[in-house]
Amino acid sequence: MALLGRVARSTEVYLVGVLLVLSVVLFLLNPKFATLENIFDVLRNNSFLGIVALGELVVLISGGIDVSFTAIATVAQYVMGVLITRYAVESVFLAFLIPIPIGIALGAFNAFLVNRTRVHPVIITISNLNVFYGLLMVISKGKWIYGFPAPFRDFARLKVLTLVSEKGVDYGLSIFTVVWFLIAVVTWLILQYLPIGRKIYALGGNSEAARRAGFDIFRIQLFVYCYIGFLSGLAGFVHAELNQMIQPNAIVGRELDVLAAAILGGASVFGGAGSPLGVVLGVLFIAFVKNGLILMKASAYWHQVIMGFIIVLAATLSAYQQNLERKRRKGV
Amino acid sequence: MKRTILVGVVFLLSVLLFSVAWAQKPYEIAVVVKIAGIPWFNRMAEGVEQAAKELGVNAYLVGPATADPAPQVQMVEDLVTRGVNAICVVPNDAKALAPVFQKAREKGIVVITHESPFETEAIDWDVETIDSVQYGKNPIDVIVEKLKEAGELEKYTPENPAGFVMLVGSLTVPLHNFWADTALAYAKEKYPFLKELTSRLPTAESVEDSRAAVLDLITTYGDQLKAVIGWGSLGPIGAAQAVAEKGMEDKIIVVGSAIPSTVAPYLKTGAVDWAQLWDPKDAGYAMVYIAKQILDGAEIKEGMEIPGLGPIKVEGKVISVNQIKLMPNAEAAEALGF
Repeated sequence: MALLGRVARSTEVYLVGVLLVLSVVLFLLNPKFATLENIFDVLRNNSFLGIVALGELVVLISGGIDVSFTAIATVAQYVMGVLITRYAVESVFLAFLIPIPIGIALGAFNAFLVNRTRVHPVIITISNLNVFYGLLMVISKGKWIYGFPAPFRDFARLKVLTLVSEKGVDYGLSIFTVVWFLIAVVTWLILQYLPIGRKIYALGGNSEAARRAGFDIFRIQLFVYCYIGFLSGLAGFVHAELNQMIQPNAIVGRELDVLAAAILGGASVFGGAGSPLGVVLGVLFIAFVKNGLILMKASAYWHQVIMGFIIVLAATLSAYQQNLERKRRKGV
Repeated sequence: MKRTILVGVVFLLSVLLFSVAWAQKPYEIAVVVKIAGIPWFNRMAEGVEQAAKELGVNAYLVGPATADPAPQVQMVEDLVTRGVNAICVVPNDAKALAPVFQKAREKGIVVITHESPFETEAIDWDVETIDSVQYGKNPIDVIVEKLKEAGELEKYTPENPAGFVMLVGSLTVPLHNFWADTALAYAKEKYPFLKELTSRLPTAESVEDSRAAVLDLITTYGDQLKAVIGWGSLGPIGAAQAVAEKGMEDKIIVVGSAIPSTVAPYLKTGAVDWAQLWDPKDAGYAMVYIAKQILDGAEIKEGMEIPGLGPIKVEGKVISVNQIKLMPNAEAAEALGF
């Protein structure tokens, strides 16, 4: 366990280094990058991505994978959208409570199929992505939802820390950024200190050993898929707040962004490795590159090229660095 | 002998019945859209149904479950095999459809497209319900108008320009990029004090991406950024949210394509200043109407009247009526009813 911790820690150290270099480069190219206003905007804009990436991390550590979370988030936010606009739900807290049980229920459905059929979770969750999303499209006819009750609209601007720019406009640390970081801490606590967290690492590290040790595999899988379901529901709420519009096809298709962020952050597709801090850094890395490309006034034709190139580079470096660590471990 | 006569009579009768049925069978006109079941194409289906009723044809609208080229090609292929009379397509990728269009025309099926005025080699006609050049120029004129209203027009010169940026659906949507090119050329020629700050960004199919991009643009260009043009229908919505978040409703002009019911609340707050679009219902009606005319053997020529939509213009294989719906304010948007 200590060794695993060290691997994760060193991935994070390396990521922090890369982030620092990147920030300095961006700052030199455009000093506006380093303004608090810009940083707060980037953090707020990426809170949706950040929250689901933490869910994906937990699934990846357990040796599974979930690609249906985009559909889960969509279904959860859509049901919420229909309910709060139809019944003019004034309480944001009530609205917030709607998507979460939906997310958990759909996650449990995934866990059940993964455990009972023993088919690879990629296949199960891709199928369920299509089932959840397809059903939603059939029932909703793809209709967009907007025009939410006023409290729901105002909540989107809630800030934990408010500053005023030179031009007299409020900016600050958004509530959604705080939620994201809070989830990161909670995820870290679960993984590090709760028995279930240790079992998730054990299952991902060596599932056969975990089985022989007498772990209840289904219970662990139920936990991880429900956890990502829960976070998808929560992220669906955040997404609806940020955009003030719910479209059935807005989130689906972004699975790779999230997986890339998680893997960049040191999560392994083979299970057993990864940490919440790493994933937060992975999301930040992608976010800063995207932000920086516009700030650098780079033409849009280059955005995809540079994004792809950086992800390949970072993944290669991270794999290389993990390899070194593994060799070092064997040498001991 | 008796039996032979009986068989003969039955045979003759059935041939007769069959040919009567054949003669009375109305034209079958299939409209294949990019993706089925979304509001835009549901609205188009209304126009198709209206045309079917008024013209006495069997016209209907279908589309694949995802907006991908492959399932759409497959769908058109099936219709060709089934032998419908006309196929009207809103292509996901006109190039990918060219071979199957060729096949359809070899079988004598009329092929019509919409929103695809540049890939006309393999089709009979393309039907547009807007004047695309006008559509590209409009936002530029509106920006200048708004600058004038704000009393800022004199402030800007080619050396100290008013900056704008454009959001397109993607860098490969031909129509969006045609409008953007037109707008750019028009601005350069007529209003040299307008300047595109950075090349167009491919975010306009997503509120989330447009919002983030415009926030970044505001950070990057500050007061230089005077206007945002969204060519995809979610560009202005995302831009409006960014502008509202920064309290810059009065400082940044947001214009572009937007669905009336979606944009109305933003026009009300002033976060969006002006919008334009066409009605997919008109497009659905026009495609079926033109298909019916061709099947009836009528000649398609300049000035031919489409009921409710006015006389047509013909350029090459592109038939157009000019039905740009302007939304200078929330009331105008709400009045459009979709």
